[in-house]
Amino acid sequence: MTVMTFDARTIRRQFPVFAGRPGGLPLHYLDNAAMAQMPRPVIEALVAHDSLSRANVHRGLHPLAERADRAYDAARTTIARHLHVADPTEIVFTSGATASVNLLAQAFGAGLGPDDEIVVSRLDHHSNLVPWLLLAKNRGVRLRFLPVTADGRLDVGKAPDIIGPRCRLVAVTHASNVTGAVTAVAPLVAAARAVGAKVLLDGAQMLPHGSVDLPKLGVDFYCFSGHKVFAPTGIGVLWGRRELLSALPPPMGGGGMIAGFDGDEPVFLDTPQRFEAGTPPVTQAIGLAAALTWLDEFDHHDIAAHERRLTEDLLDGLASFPGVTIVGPRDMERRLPVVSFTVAGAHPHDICQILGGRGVALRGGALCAQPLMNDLDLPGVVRASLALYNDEADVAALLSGLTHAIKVLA
Amino acid sequence: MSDDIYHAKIKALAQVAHGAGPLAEPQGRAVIDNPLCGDRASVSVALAEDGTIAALAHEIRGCLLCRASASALAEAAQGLAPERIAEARRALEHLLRDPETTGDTFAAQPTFTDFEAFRPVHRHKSRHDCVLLPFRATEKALAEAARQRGLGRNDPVAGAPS
Repeated sequence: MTVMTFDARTIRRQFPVFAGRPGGLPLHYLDNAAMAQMPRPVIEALVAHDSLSRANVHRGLHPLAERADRAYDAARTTIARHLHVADPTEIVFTSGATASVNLLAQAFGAGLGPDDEIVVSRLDHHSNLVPWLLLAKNRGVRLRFLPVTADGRLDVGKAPDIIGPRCRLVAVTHASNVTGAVTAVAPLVAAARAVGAKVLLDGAQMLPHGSVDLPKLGVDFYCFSGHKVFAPTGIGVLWGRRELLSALPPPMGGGGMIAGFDGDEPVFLDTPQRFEAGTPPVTQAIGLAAALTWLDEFDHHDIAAHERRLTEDLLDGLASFPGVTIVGPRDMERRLPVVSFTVAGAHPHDICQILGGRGVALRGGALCAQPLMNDLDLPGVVRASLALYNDEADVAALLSGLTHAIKVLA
Repeated sequence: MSDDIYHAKIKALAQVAHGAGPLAEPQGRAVIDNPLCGDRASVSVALAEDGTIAALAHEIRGCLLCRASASALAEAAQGLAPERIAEARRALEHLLRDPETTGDTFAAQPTFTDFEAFRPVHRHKSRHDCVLLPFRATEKALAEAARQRGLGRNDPVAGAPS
């Protein structure tokens, strides 16, 4: 594969959304942690599939169905390759990271009870917390929480104290959607392995910012969403080690996941089909594969270096405002270009509203991380989250917009 | 531009914060969250012998619009029948939803004319709930107060007639 020279402005031209001027203003899109934009190759892949190869998969015998089968299966292989996974059947398609965690909570949790513990964290997005809270409520499983450090990192140093002999699974984020902190995975895996527990990482924020090598991470399960990684909505992945997935019961039944019937007893297919009941998100899976193929055209080190420069500029710029407090790490060590902050005397929504009116798209509020906000005693934060297509002009627009917003609200 | 919703009247209402703080002996209290932004409106009410609103106090953890709305509501509510709050909320919803056809939204309720200040918010649908949150908490608190007094009023928040 040819590696493309990295240039944010050239990359930006591949995104139709930046050619438009919503509200008559240039778009400074800094809400990538909520939803990334889609480049033209992804949009074209979606349109091409639905125009020329649209058929249900693993059911039909006609040529169109065969084309759809090949495209869908190839998408799984592409995604496995992106994650450095040798066996594509370990890739389960879901509707998003939330669905992936719920799937695992129901399947893995089916065999758990009051004697078992799951370790979660108060740093996590609701998508990797509420499914476990529901499991605790429904099956009596005990949840234990990994603490969060003052600068918004998962305190993995406490892992051996929290991950005890009753722990069956550690389910935490790979990178925080609030603080941008990247989790130190190795000590977490070591603490889990010491007691025979499995590890799930929520990679929704991590995947758009560089290479994720699942075998190297050494975890057991991993999930992410397509819409944060330049792909369409309605698609996500749950990856799991094959021997683990094959041993889990399917939480949802339907067509496409049955090998046959033994009398009235259904016999389930192996992974991934046993977890993909009903018509799967075929077009979206093809879009996700197109997005990761597009992302792999760039050197991931170039992406990381570009995003790091912008994040440093942003952190430096924010530090010049006397009323601004960064919620998360101030340094660049193990952090994503996801920067949350508060402004003294101004509510996050008011800041976001005023900057939105100047073409700067931010996110404000509790960011689906209410336990963390409660711990920090904050109603919410303002979040700027960058992607590879952002540039210095976006950071400058945010900083000048913030100066303006503070004046308006004074 | 979004700056138009942060005009002097709105900012003044938020700053003066009529009714801000706890109420010593509330007969009804309600807390409502806005899950989108993490805002929280906590409203306490006391009723007079004749059932009108004797006192309304609020504690708002929210944006400028939410604080301005709570302030205007606390100033207007004194001495009104509880039903008037639901009527004003419906008028306000109408103002936010369809501002062009409601030139005299609060003509029948002159104590609520301050809410004309929120007319520019109609262009920002995601902010309508910020303005309405104090009303929803107040209606719930009033229903609670009525229950405490054994008046048996229905909860107007649940859509029952007030």
